Amino acid sequence: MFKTDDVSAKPAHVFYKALIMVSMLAVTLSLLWVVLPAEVHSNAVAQKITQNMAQSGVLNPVTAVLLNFRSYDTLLEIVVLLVVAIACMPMHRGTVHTHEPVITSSSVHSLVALLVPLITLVAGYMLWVGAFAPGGAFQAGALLASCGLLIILSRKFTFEFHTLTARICLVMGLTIFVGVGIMSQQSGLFLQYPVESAAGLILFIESAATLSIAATLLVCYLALAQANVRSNAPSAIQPMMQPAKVEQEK
Amino acid sequence: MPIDSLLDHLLVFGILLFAASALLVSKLFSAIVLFISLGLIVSLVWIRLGAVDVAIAEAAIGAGVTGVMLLAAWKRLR
Repeated sequence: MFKTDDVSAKPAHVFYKALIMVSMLAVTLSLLWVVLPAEVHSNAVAQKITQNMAQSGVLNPVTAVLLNFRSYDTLLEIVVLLVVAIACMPMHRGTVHTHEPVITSSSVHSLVALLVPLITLVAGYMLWVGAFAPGGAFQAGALLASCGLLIILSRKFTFEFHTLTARICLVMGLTIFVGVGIMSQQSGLFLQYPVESAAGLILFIESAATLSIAATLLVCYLALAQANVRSNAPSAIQPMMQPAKVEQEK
Repeated sequence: MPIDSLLDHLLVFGILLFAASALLVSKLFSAIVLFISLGLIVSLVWIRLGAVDVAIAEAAIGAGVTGVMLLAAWKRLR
């Protein structure tokens, strides 16, 4: 809804607000009417999953479904993440000389110095434990991204995504996923892992996907946060940014 | 057990309350803070529904990364 810091109660705005509220209420009530009488657990699918868990290589049924039974869907999700990262890259200006004040408070720096290793450890644990307890690649990647956000927000460092290392991090998840899929085509279909090495392959894919997910989330954040910084440093993509820069200087 | 259903009712009421407040409050910053709190309550709801993986992801991405991105966008709008 049309929110500014000073609320204007013009009749046109109030009408549109009321219209949106009524339509959203109608959608919610119809969803409730459809979803509430449905049965809670789909027993046929749950039985199929429990019967095939021995071949999946992991103990957690969520990870088995995500990374083994429906691994093609997860592959497409990682493709979508890569497309989002590519879309956010031009808005990310690389290292800029910002006029923002550096946070000199020692408490912030000491807190970040304490939290970043702990969060990285928890992310690694989440990646490892995804095989037999709730966890997995997406959770670990999100934790790593929030760790990177802490570093950026305390302005100790910033992330430069134009380097080769960063680009390798961004594409590594998709590359290794597709590579493992092609390599397992020798003994079956695309993405049909050999049963005895399924656990190791899943962990391998998840490790690469964790880095990719964290890198993509950081690029999305940097595209938002750095776009309003007046850059004095010459950027390699400056000619492409000229039209957008005119809009931002309004 | 009564305490379980009480918790469930509180969570549902909290979701509706926080969502409505995030939409109806006048200051943009308060709306963003309410949205982050809504993400945390939805994370608790995911745990009550038995989906712990989704709860971890919701807390990290929905409340964490999305909240920080909204705040960055808010700062850019000022």
